[in-house]
Amino acid sequence: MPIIILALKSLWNRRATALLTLLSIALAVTLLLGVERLRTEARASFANTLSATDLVVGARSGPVPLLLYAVFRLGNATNNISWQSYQAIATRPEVAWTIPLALGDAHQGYPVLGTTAAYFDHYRYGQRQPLRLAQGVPFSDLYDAVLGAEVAKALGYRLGDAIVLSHGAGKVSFVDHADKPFRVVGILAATGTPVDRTVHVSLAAIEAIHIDYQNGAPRPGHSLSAEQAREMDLTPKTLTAFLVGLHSRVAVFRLQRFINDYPEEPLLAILPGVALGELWQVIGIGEQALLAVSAMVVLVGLAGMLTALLAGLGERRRELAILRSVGARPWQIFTLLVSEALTLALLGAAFGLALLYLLLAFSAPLLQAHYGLQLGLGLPSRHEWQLLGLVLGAGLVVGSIPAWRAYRYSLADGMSIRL
Amino acid sequence: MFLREMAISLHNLEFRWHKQAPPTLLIDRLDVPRGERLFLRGPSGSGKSTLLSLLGGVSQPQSGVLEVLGEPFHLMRGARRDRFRADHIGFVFQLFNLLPYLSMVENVTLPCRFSPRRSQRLRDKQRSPEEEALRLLAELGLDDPRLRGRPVTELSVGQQQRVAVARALIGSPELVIADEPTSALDADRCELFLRLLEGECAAEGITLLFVSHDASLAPLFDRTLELAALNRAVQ
Repeated sequence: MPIIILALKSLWNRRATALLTLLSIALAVTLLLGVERLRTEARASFANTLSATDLVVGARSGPVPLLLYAVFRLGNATNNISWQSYQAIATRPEVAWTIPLALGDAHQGYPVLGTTAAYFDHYRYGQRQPLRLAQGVPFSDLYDAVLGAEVAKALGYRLGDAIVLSHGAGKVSFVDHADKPFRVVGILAATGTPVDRTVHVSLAAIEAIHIDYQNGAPRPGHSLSAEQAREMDLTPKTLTAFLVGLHSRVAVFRLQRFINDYPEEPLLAILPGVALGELWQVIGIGEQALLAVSAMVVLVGLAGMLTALLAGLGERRRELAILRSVGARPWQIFTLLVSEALTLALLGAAFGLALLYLLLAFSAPLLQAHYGLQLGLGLPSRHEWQLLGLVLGAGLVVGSIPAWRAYRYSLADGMSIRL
Repeated sequence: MFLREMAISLHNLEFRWHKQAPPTLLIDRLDVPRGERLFLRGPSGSGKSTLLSLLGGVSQPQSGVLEVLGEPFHLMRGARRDRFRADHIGFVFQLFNLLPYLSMVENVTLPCRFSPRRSQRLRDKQRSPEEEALRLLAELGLDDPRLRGRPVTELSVGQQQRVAVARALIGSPELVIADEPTSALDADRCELFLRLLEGECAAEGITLLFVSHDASLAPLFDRTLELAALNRAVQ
């Protein structure tokens, strides 16, 4: 195809401008695909905040509030559930495991979660990944604490450090459990989920630090020391929520109905996947905006190409007239200009893609370590190919504008070489 | 294809830029026999550009007959006219004939990319476009291998014009139209250039229409016509 070769040689002749155009398209494509990849990963990681859990059970409110406090550890539960109800459900034959959750306290604004060893055994996130301790061991003593990755990093804690929990979930608390300090025994690896922001202690510890409390406040004159609390019965009386795993998923709706109709206490059981999907609908608007912005950047890149091609056209009227005089037809002039634009768009997309993989290769380990985001180096997804196709299509449309101008010139100027 | 007598034949040709505008070209009769090397002298304002745009097929006359190689050129539609021109007519312009991003040989072979007929003629002679380009360039005194690798923009104006002649001649079109190709050359180089052009046209039996304002070139041609005398629109 001689026209293409002419187009390439002509482009090479103007390589300085062409390279700048190419670069702007490549950067725009990198941004577009990078945002797309982050977006997809953020959505997947959100949907996988909690996996392998069949039901989340709490006091009756709504699915989204329950999800917010039980899974995201945001805000407060309106009501607790009784230990008896928990026991009754946890011991049912179809239930494989449960993870009790007791929330309400905080450490420097990070939520404190009281739970059991089941948390480390059965809690799953992402593609059914278990929690992994980066350092140390799970809690075993009453006053042991296991920190999420972000808590440890932000507050600079190491194994063996002593921490004091605060009463209430706020960042600023006026009541500290200063008499019962905890020791950091473990630090979890980053997950990219709310687990990173959580301080984990045993259920008994939650009971112990509140043993001298009544109606949510310390009882004056009745304080018990940390060692005295060890002697008390530390079986919890209430829980905030609990996670349920079943032997067989088939039983999930039956158990959900059983819990929602539980006669002793108003309870709510939700399917976490469904509720997470509902929540994403609300907060997912931001990701659309992000994609829209990067699409704009691509348009700006292509507009730059249009400017460069149109500006160059005036100087190239002589070139076009020479081509006409040696027998090029107007449609061949059109093809010449369109192939130039398409070449720029194609090379821009290819360089953009290469740049993206280069950046991914460098940043994927960092993103994994700090945010728990898993950006794969896999081949572009179908959606990403579609985006690339759109970029090329837009390049073709944009390129046909100067091509059309050149076509008109070549009809009007003919072979007369205007200087 | 039988031999036609006339390379160019005009009858009662009339052209105006707009319907209401006065005619810029009114020629009762102009015949250029095949194989002739005609000098058409035209000062500016004589209708020279108009005549060339009609012969190039860029414009069409309002009335009259314009036959090229016996074909009714004035009746041909856009695409057909383009093909006919590419196949049968070679052009040499005043200046800047070459594409800066192509080599000397690539510039010369350019018409073969666009005219299947011209490349067919080379195949009939069992020559590749590159071989023929090198042969023509050698005939025109451009066989120094050092020139070949150099960007065409570094050639002298005289050398560039000779490359343009080689390009007009490749694939043996029946007609070559040269529009002031010597105006940028000094007198010695001008004469050398014309001898080369004439020699090549004679060797291939190509009709040459040479248009210039410079009457001093006239003795080198078979016949000379004054455009101002032909064109009734300027009398």
